[in-house]
Amino acid sequence: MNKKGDIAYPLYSPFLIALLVIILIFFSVYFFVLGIAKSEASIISGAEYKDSTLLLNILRTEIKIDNGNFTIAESINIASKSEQNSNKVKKQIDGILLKLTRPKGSSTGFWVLEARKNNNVFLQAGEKANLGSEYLEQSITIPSDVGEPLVVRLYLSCRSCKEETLEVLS
Amino acid sequence: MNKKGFFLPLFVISTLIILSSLTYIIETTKLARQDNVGMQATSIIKSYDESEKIQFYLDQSIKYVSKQALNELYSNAGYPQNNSCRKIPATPTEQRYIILDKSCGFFNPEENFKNLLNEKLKNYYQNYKSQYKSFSVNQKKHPGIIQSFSDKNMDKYDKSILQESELQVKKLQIKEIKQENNNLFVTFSEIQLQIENSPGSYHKFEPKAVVESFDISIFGSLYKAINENCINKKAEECIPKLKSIFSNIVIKEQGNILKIKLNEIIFAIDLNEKLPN
Repeated sequence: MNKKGDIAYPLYSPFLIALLVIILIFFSVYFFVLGIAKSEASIISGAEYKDSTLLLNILRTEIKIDNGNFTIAESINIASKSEQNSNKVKKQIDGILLKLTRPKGSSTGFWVLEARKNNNVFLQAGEKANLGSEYLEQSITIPSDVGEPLVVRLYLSCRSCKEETLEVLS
Repeated sequence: MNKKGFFLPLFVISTLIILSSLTYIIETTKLARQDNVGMQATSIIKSYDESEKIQFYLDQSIKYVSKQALNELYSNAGYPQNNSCRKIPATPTEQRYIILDKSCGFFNPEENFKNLLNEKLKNYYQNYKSQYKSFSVNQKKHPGIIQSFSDKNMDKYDKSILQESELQVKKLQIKEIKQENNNLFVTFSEIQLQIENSPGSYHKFEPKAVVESFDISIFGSLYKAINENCINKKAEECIPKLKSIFSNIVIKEQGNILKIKLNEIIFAIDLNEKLPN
């Protein structure tokens, strides 16, 4: 035994230090480079934190058609009966869609409302952006007066919008 | 072995043990945790949204159905289309009239309205198409970001919540109908919507709808006026009295039969026959 301790100390100390370095390098790679501690949980897209309030409010809005007051939901039922009716309703809904606030980051976007019966579009109001994609879609089924289901979709048609930067409107 | 000689091996061994334990804990926790960030909150929002859509669908349905039911009662003296009343067949110039007498059975337009409402709504329940969109991970476009799938690739994803929602609407029944003033308040049976990715968790609610400006009392007033002034009395005595009570009434006399039109209500009475109870 010398002053520095064990007689064999000089023999195993470089080995132990090397082992420690290897252990530290291994776990550093494991934790930081491979990112094992990082959560793999997927994140819900920001656009999912929304409901269909905007579409429901639009459908409850009253408009005037041929001197009669109808909600937009009732007008869509009227529009489903003939092209002439559809054109009358379209004009009224166009005006409402233009007044809607557009989310930040969508200066080139337009709100579009589309109604389908048996998968055929019979009403399309609002302006569709050229080569635009659809964002912030909300859809609902409403009944016609004879009980047929009419599917109504509202979406933002936008060419240069990015999903990540669109602020969801409530 | 002195203190220094003992410390280094101990330090290396404890480092190895601590880091290995940490790795083990991280790995096992990751396996046990399947929650995606924001998934539960968004699932609840989606479930409430679906309930709002069902409620809106029922609001609209009841608006149309109540009009249809009322029109049916108006053209059948307060009875449904399928009734046992005697009838005066339609002619090229005139429509069909039903004769309000004992052959019709018990006179209860309010009950008949409720039954018609229930029956006609079934067709609307069957046609409900849920627009519920389940979550999916769009690995190609946005790795790790969860979105609801779009219509275009709908077939690829889980439709169980959507189908369950439609099934719940198809099973609906009217639980209670209450009339207050001129409004009819309809309460439906309970709906249970499964909350996505949370087995055993449900959002339960009882849809309610209102039929506004609902007034069926005109049948009662007409019945009372006819019973008091016309039955077993002469037409000359009955017609002026009815006209004094109902200013819009139009009456055509054909022997013992009086054909009556009051706004949209159309029926006939036989002066020699008693009205139904």
